[in-house]
Amino acid sequence: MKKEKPSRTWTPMGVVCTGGVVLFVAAVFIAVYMMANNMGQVPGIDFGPGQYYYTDIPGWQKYFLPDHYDNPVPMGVLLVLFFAWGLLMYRLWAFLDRKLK
Amino acid sequence: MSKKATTANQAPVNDDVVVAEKFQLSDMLHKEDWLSIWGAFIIIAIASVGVISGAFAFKAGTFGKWGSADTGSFLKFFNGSESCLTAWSGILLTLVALIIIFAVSNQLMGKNIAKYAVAFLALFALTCLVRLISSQVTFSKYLEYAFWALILGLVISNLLKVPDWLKPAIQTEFYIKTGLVLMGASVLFSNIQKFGLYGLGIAWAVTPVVIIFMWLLGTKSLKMENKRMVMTIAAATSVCGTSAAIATAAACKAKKTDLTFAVGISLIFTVLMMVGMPLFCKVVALDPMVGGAWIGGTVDSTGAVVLAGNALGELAGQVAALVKMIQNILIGFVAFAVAVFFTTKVDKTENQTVGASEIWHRFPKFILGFLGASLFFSFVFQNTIGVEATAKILSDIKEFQTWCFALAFTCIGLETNFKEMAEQFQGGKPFVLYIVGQVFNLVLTFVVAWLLLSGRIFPIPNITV
Repeated sequence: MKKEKPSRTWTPMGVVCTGGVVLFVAAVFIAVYMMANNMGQVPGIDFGPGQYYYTDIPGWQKYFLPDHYDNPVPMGVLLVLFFAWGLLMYRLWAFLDRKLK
Repeated sequence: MSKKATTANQAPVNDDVVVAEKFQLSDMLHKEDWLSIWGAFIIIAIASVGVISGAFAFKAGTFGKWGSADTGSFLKFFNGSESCLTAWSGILLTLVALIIIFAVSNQLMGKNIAKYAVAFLALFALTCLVRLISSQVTFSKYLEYAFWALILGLVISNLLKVPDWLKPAIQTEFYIKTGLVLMGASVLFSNIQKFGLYGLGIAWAVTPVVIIFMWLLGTKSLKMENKRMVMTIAAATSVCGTSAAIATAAACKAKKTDLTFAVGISLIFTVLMMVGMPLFCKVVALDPMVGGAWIGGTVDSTGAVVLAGNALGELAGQVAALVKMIQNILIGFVAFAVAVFFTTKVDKTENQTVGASEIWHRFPKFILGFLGASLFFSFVFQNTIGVEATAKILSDIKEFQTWCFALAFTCIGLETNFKEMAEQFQGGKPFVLYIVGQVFNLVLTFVVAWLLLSGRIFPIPNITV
């Protein structure tokens, strides 16, 4: 007896995931096209996304060492804000992870 | 990425338990985490002595660019010319330094040093090929070593068979950890003040919110079982692409395929965003300062940020670089927070309380080396030997870091098969996670950048170009 093939049912999650895959495949083709045509380049700048981290950039000192902004806020205040926000967000992360199912 | 964690990742998340071995002082001379710290510190120390004394430069070698009319073909590295001698002498120095550090470490870990050394020579030769390919002018701008290392490794492992004698050198985690401790030196915490409250607001206010959003999206809405992959993709999206993905993957002990996915997706979308975002800003006539901050806070790779920012003008380029510089600082702290979160929340059994000593036993120790190097360079070196000398040391050790990561990515490729990658595909959920997370990141960063820099609420900062 011939077995009947189960028909594929589309769930909302399945549709979303398929959409994600389609977008990714499209992104790959567009990115390859952009790279092949040397798009996004600026005259005088000889680097790009391949320089992942700031010290990867040739002559990074030129972009990252000089002070371009006269910061009026003391370092201590910035440090307190930095750690306070970080701690608050960590606690929020742990709380939401525990509470949400 | 440990064997234990890998096994745990295959099991349902609720049974995801890592049993930590108790810490002993002797671990500091025999365990991979500690040896990666000492190895990196030795490289940093020698490079620092070289710069401070002015007697020598301890700098790893690399290939110059090739493949255009200006740069010539790759044959210039094989014809005995000056470029050839410069490249190969530097690479030889790199080989000697790394083989000594890694082989001695392997000996201390109780492994066979002779077998390791032979295997490392072959792995280094493969990595040389990766670095030669990625030095091609177009490849070097857009993709660089991570992509080509993965491709070469995948081709060898899936089309041929990785020979047994090469396997002793395939130690992905060890190379990543050593590279990360080296990277720690360049995470200059003092940069936090470069753009004051504006930079802190754009880079630091948004980043953790995006991480939390993506974590909840991945683990609760998409119900992805592989939490380590969710974390690695979230860090790559919200912090700074490949570098953050490497650090976070090591901190939460993610699988190699998790890192491969995160890096691959990030590289593809970085190219799109680098080209698309400046165009969009121009079309809607967005203020260059807001546009630059938006690009700095969202585009993953630092090189792409500077490039895309400058496509909008010099001011936008400067603001983009300032914001990205602060995001670069976050790598260490995010990795630290992720390590603590996974140690205390994810890797524990239900109803189990994880005390301070247990956290210490389970904690990936190399992160201490990463943070230690960062704090030392930020608050000791910069204030004693000066900013210029510190920058020189960072430039010198940077190539060693790149070699470590290139070795690691080659190993990842050699250890990964397509079947394993397909298993991690999860119906496309990682793509949905990245795309939705990145859209959220784009919207939130834009709102914060506009609120802070448009001049409607806060005064416009005076940036000198």
